[in-house]
Amino acid sequence: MKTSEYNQCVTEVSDDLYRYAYRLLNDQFGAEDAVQEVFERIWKKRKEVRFEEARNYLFKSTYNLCMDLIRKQKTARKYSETLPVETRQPSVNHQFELQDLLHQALNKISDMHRSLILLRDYEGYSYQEIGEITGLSESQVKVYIFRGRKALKSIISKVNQYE
Amino acid sequence: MSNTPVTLVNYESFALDYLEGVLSPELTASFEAFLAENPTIKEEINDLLSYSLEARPIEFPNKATLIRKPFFTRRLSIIFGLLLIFCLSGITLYVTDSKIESNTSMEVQPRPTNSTINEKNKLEINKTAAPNTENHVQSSISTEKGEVAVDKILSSTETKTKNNDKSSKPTSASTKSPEKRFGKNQAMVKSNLKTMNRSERKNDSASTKPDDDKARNKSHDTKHVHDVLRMHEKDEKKESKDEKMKKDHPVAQVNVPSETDLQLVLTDESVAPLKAQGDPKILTQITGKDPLSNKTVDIPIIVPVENDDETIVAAVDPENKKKRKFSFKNFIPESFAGLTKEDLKNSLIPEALATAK
Repeated sequence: MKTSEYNQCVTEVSDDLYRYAYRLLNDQFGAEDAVQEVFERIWKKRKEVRFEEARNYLFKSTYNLCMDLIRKQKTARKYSETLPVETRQPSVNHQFELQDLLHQALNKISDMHRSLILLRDYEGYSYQEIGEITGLSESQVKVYIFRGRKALKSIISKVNQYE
Repeated sequence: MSNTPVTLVNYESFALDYLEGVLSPELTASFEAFLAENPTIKEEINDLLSYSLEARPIEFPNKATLIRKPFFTRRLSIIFGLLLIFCLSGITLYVTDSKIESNTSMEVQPRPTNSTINEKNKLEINKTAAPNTENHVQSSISTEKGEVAVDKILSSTETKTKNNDKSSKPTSASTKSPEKRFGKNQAMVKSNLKTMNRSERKNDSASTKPDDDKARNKSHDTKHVHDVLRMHEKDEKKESKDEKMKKDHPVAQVNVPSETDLQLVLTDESVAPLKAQGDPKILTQITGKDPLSNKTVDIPIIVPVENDDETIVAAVDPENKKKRKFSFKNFIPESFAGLTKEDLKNSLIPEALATAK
């Protein structure tokens, strides 16, 4: 991958990566760090990574990095009494619209479900590509996404019932 | 997968394809049959039919920091930076060197073997030099000991008596330049003249020439002595004005016998008489081929007081009796000894030639 191609990747993919990391981590600064880290990695391996594979490589790296971060956060949270159960919420307004509810509900489903739903619904990856990124089989991806969507619906229905 | 029956265990993997409408007709029929058997699942599926999660555009704030400059641009900036550093350091070194050059006095390095060669060369020059007054004075300067100077005067006097006043008349042009250089110490000149007179008396006693010739020569020599003394007085007046600006320059001697055999001699002894005369203007002396007259002569190099800080030196051309400038650029006294023949050829002589032309 040439420098110009790398720069093209930055221009085209960085926003999507940032959004993906932001939704996964629910942390703006954590997402920024993750994206920068991922681009640093691909810059170092630019001779090995082809331009056509760069997008998948970036998302795979971001997925792995974010999942590692989430695991670390969970471990830290487990042994800390002072930390609140819920981390900082994303900066979405509190209008009770379906999209807002869905985005809020995304933070309440499991990390695996969320990551797969984001890849599928936000980034438009195919199940096969998601399987390559996450290291899961295509069937597993489908099952996880279905369960994730069901979880989202149940959360939204609970909110509606509460109102 | 197409042959697999839809069950409670695996229906989830078919559900998404069913919702997206990508299931094969056979599997679609199979899946719908399964949903008919399981109304709870059918309700779940129907709920998900209206599901759509729209991505909201978010811009990565630090995108500019991730952009990398092309290889050439990055290297170019580094190269420019390095060049700038080199230029600055070079200028600094140049300025420092020029300061050192201007501040450092010339160190005389004794080379006994070369000095003997130099003496031989001078003797040869003295033999071939024209026997006029200017050459007398120059010879006395170029020699290392005052006694040799006296000998030179004596020998020239002998030549004068033989030539019957043909070349002994001192002209204003011929006496002006050497006296400017060496006319400060009048006492020394007087002593030389006394010595000359003594030697003449000896010569008179030993001579076989008639008495009228001797008297004529003697009267002529007396006239010459008076002329020289007058010129010395004039020079003393002129030099008293410049005394404030005079500096004590060490004296070096450059011996250039020929272009093919360049030699360099810097000795304290060879320039001691010059120092004794106390003329700080005399910097060095070149014994070698004059680029203008193409003759082998002694060229005392004078550093003008006003150009003391510069490397341009002036010399008196013994042939034309006029002051000429010999531009010795990068004239570093310390490096005299370190100069090679090629260095002298390339820097010293061409510069002198160019200036002379």
